[in-house]
Amino acid sequence: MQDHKLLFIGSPGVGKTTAIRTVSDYPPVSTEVPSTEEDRNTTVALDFGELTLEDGDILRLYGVPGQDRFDFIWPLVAEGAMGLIVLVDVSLPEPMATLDMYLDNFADHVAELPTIVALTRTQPSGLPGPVECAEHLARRRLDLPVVAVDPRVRNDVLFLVSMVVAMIEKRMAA
Amino acid sequence: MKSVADPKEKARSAPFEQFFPEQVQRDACLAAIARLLEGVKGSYASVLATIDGKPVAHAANEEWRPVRVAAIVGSLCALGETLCKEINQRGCRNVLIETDTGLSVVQRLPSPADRLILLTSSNRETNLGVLLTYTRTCAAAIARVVTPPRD
Repeated sequence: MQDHKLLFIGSPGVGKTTAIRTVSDYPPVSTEVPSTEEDRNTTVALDFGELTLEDGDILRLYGVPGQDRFDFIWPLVAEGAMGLIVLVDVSLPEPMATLDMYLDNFADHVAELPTIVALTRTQPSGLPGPVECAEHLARRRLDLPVVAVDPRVRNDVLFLVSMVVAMIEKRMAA
Repeated sequence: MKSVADPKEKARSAPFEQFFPEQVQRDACLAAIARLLEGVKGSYASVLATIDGKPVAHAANEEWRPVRVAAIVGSLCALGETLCKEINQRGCRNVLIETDTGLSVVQRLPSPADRLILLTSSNRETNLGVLLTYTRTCAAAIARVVTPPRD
């Protein structure tokens, strides 16, 4: 039985808390409070959930606040992570610039850890999709898998985390 | 020397105007913080922040970065309250940090100001009971003058 720590990062409201809640075996630890900027809740410290896979492996799922004023907590929560999931809301203005901000701030982790970029709110059509995102990453000389997910859909999130676990295991086997 | 930020300067802070739209409210808020720091021997800084980690008002006799401190205070308060729930405790009153050189207390304000958090920091001269009492009194005074945001 193995234990993997995965880290979800991305902009506020992109679906990090929702993704962890969608697949966690139990109600996740959440530090959401009402936002003073928007009519929704926002995470101010961390999210934490656990997911037990069929083979008994345990995934510890962590999320961090998206606002850069909380960047002090990013390295604290990221310590020991074995995989990284970058969520990008493509319905927001300039999603690739937002992606760049997180890739820059987590550059060391992106360079060292299996990393996946997951696009959310990909409907309606016409918004940037996996192909455009992969092209953007290629211009940054990054070769990362890009998928479209709905953080509310359990199978989507399971697919996402299983991809990261496969990348981790491949790296461990190499 | 302790100083309270100029109300006119602080009025440029969006959260400060949001929670204290009238000048009389802003003056009362800053006066409460000033009384807190004057009343607690060894206290040297106080930051009022939103629960989502944005600075509202502050007073300090040290070079602090209120934006950073407010964000950390927001996280600390949330973590303290989350820990309380996780270990089946109720009514989280404070998050208290004790170091070799001082004390810091983080306290969520009472309703209707419960979207605000107050941090007070002091050196080791300070009596913990006095710090907690004055911080609670200050929090109550600010709660009396706040305009809570509409849900």
